Amino acid sequence: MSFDSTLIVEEFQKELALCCDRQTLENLRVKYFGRKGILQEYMSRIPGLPAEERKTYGGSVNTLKLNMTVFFQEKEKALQSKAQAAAFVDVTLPGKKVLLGRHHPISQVQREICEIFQNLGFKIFDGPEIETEYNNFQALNIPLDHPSCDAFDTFYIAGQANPKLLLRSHTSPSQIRALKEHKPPLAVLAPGRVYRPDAVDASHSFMFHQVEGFTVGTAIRFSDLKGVLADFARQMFGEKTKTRFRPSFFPFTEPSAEVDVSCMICCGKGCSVCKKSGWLEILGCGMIHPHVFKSVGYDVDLWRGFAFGMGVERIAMLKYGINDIRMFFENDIRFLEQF
Amino acid sequence: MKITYSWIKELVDIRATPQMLAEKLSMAGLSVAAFSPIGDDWLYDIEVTSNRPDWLSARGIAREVAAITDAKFKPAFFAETKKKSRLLQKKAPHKQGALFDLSLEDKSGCLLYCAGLVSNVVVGDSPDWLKKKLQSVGLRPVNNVVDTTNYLMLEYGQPLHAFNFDKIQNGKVFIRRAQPTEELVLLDGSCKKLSEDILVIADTQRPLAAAGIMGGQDSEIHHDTVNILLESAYFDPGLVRRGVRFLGAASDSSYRFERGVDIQQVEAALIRACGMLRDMCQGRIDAIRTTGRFSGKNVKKASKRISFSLKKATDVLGVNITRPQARRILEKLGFAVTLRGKDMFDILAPSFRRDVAISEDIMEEIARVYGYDKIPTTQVSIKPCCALVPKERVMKIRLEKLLVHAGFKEVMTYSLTGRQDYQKTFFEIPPDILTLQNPLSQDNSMLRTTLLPGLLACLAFNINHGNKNLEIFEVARIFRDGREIMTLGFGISGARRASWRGEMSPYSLFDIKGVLEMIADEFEIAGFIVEENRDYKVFEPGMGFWLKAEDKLIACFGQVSEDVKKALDIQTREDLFVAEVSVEALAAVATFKKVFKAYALTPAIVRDLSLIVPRRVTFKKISDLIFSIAGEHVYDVEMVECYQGKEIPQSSTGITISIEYRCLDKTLTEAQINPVHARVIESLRTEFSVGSR
Repeated sequence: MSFDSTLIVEEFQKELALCCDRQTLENLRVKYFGRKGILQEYMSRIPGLPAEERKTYGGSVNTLKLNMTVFFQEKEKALQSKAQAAAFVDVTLPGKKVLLGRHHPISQVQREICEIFQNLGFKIFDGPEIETEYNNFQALNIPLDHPSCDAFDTFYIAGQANPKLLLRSHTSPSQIRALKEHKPPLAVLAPGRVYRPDAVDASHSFMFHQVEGFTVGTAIRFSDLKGVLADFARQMFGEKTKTRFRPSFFPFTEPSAEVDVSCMICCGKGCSVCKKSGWLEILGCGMIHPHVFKSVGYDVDLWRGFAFGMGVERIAMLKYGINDIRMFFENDIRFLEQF
Repeated sequence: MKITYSWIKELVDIRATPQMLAEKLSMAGLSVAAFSPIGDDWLYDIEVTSNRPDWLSARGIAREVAAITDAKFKPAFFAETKKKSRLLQKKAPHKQGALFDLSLEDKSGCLLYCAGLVSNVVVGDSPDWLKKKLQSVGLRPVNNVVDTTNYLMLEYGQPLHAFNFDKIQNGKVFIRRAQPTEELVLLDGSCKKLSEDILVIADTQRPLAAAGIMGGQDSEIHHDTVNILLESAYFDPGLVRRGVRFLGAASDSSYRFERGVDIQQVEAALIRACGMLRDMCQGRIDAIRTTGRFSGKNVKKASKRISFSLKKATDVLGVNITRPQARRILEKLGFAVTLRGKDMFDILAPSFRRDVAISEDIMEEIARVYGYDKIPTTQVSIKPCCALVPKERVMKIRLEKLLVHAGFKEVMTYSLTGRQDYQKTFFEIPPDILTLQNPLSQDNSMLRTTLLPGLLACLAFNINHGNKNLEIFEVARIFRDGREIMTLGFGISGARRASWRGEMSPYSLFDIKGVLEMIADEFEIAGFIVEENRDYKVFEPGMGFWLKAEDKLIACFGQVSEDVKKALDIQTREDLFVAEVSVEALAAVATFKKVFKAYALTPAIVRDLSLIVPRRVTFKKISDLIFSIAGEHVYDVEMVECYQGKEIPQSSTGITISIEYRCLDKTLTEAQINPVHARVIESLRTEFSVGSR
């Protein structure tokens, strides 16, 4: 059994010369070298041959294969370099847009605030959005007949008299619930939605978010409050952030303070955002008022603590340079995709 | 409260520059909201907290400045003593017939009432110094009488009211509660019905003024008014506050009375005012009368003694303040301090500090003047309590993450809703829906019982603003059955991102179902079932569904109906899909623990099968049958393609499914699978008259 290897090689080379791209070359490879290709067919004849012929026959098929492989590889290389020379990819074309999900900027900022305090040992507590009038006001030392109540205009639920129900106007009622549910010492963080009947404009919304934090122990000091909040400000707004504590008034803390941070936009030099003062007011705080402890049945001679509260929208607006609170609730995708 | 640098300087020796003073004020609790030059002076706009009505006056601010800058508060430079009062009255020629009587009927509603009669005044322009002073703090000069009362209110914090004395019948003044039948036309022209909760100043016939709130139009001062009765009083703060609310009328006066005026200044301010009217309007002081529980009393004796421990205060504050330091601070602020033992102080607050009642208040006073900035910052040792994170919060966080991973943008919509939102989305308003007693508008007057209207409004807003391709979600509380229920809502519209490469994949019902299946997978909820939801008209007929697990409703989902699109004016032809999941119901059937499951390392034999299936034969029926026939050999049945075309009969669907045969622990051979697969084909044919292609 023999075959004309010259003829096969000639035919192969002729076809090889016609190949002009990778696809035709691949087709040729399959035709000659493939599993059901011509060379395989010659090989498959080996078992049918007399034993003495097998070696010579096999050897010549192998030689043929080697020769053809050389030609094939040369052609492959030639085509490759030709293709490389001609290659052009317009890489200025845009990449395909990745479909990316996003947390709402308010969620992101709220989470960031919570994580900082959680790392300090504060635990999250979820209070309800519908509160009793007592928890929202009287328990927190805000008598309804007092002007201090003016700062907390509140939506009341209709037809609820005993107890009177309302949409909480701040997260502080969580203090009352958490202090009743858990035993001191404790450190609690209460984030959530709050509501006030403010007409909606660029800086007001009838629904917004607050984060309330408080800790109760036997030796908590005002200086500790300063330490915790100064730490928070540096982590939230950057290493170099300075904090300033100003005396203020909240019915549920005594002494009370308002906390300013050095303006992150002008670094304290004075700009339009900080009204040229170099400071931005970001939160209110103080030592928990004895009245609050009495409301939850704690011994005021034994326990003391501090509390603080901040508006998430305000911090997000400062952080991202947003000047209209309505954008948070308009939910334009072009807005949400930026954060 | 607006005040100028020069006004403060009149009352206290300040060495600080206007800028330095602004800083000092802020750091002492008189928050300077705005600070600007006016002419050669400086104007401060101070935010006065509700506990400090004494700062609603130039004298109050000056007194504070004296304390915080260690400067001298200039002694009262006008005589305001009883002696002076008597002197003024003595000088006045006693004219019969022009006198008046005070009758105080509500002694707890008005602790002190003083009135002065100034006759023969000439109402006209105020002198320039007075006009300039009022203008400097943004007040418009009116005439010398009104300007005098305004000026003294700003100077003393004591509101004064001037009546046209000739309008008071028989010169008899009553301080009493109003009758429910009475009415009063206020200075602003509004006619108000009164009630027993309103304190009025009246004559024998009718009310003349709502005490501490606003005067009446009838007894108003005009340019031709001749005889004036000036009033200065201490009205009960709570009563004034209730009155303001009832009448819906407020004024600079009521603002101060609500917060409490300094009872010691009541008479002084009146005497000063009478003196000014005498000097500026050529009037004559005929009489000054006072009545009330505090008439002629030393108020200091009435205030409560506060027992204060300096050691406790310094311990709480974290500072070292010595006894003399503390004492000096308190005395500068007007407190009377008596030392008791080594550590204790007995303290009496001045009459203008009704806000100071307990030792914590004293602590703040000391800290404030000492300087909050001098208090060190220390590290707190927090003892975490072992409060577990509520399951609901765990679910919320995991769901939010999951949806974000799936490419969804989180939105935040209002919890308040209105009738319109329900009508436009064809939801029925539950009869027990919670409504607000005092809504801002009807659009936001109810507490939502579903997230879907808000989400649809959000989709509508975006689509109509040109954002066609959307995937949004929200996890928030809804208010139902008297509870707050954590709920997840999500919606999609448009297509999964098309690009210039032209791969466009419009969203379908199976995209929204896919998200629900992703959630079910995440929480390993096996065996959920889908049923048609005919209750919600928000969905296109036949395109709304319930998702149930363990017999509980977990979610609803479907394609938004064309009617809803029209009602919401959504300008797109593309379909919208929404879903709402009860996080609470989900939590009840969810598995939170992840356990490793072995996956096959053996090779699979995959057989594709193209079938023509009658319309009513569902994929679930087919796959269930395959699993029952092929048993342990079958690993997965997947849908590859589903189509209709010319070659498929009208009542049928052409489908291609892919059956994966696999055994977890050994390699299957073709020989083992071929008969199984043949049985599958045969069963499909006999059971469902399925034809193969």
